[in-house]
Amino acid sequence: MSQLRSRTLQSGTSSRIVTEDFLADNNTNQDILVRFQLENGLKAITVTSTNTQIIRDGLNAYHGQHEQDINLLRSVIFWLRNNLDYDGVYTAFLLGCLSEEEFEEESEKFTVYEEFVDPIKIAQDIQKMYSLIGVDFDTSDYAGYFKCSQENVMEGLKLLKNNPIFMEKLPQKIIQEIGL
Amino acid sequence: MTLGLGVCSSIEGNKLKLSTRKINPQPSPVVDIKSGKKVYKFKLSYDGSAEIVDPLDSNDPAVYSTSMLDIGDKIQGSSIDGWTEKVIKQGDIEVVNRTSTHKGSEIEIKCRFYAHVQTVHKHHAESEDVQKRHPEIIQVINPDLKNPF
Repeated sequence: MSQLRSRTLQSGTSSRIVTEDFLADNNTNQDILVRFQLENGLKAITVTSTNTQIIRDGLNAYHGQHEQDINLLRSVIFWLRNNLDYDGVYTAFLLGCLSEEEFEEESEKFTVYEEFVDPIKIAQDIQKMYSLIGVDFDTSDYAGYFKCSQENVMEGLKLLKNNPIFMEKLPQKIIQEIGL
Repeated sequence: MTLGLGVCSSIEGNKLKLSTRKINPQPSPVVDIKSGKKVYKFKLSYDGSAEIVDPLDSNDPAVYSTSMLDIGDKIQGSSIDGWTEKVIKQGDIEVVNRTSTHKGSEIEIKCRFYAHVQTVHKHHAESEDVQKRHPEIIQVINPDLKNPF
């Protein structure tokens, strides 16, 4: 904040809004952002300047901090959209608009191949997801999202033993194992 | 016949009977990591139950060692999920009168299946006392279930 500079100018005393000393004070050849604040019923103007790079760095840091959140939300939306699309195909099949062969062919596009996912990643993503959207899904939903088995999801949930919302999803045997 | 009410109680067999008030949107089919087969997932809520009509063949091992495997073994919960090796078709679903006030769906499908309790009946889970004093409460929740104990 050392680069933040401000001057309060009395608008009635001069026709110049920005004083010469403000502009002459080491601001030459610098990329700065200038902010004008009207105060005291328009009788005074506070002019604040900040190096543009500082603002840019701040915004970049903010963006970096939330980029993972945005990617997570994007992946949740993609997963839900995929489910909706598949459910549309299945509904068409139930209504007789698609033959079984056509349905088999269409459903192949949505088929998920389960893989093992690191339980730590599962725990982190579930916790982040819950903090961002305030919704806890079922273990089968999480399994669909992570493209893994429900047992794999439960391995992740076990790491969230400080949150009773997630412990409710685990069988009694596991809850006893982790000492709750 | 065993009745499973706890989270993750599961059954496996070759013919399945499902009963529910609500069939949720179907999740995408998956290639199961254990069996390596493509299976169609299902999800039921508003009081779901699943029952083994035909058991597994003797040479066909269960995917999950904790699953119940006998004819008539049943699971029941607030939501039930699982998979079938064949997709559930319109002809497999029948709308029936479940109580005097509302209807429900019954699904019978002949194929390899797995079903498990995802969430329990909260009123059951939260009150052991009610379970002890009023075991018939299960039949109140699901009148379709005969002689649960």
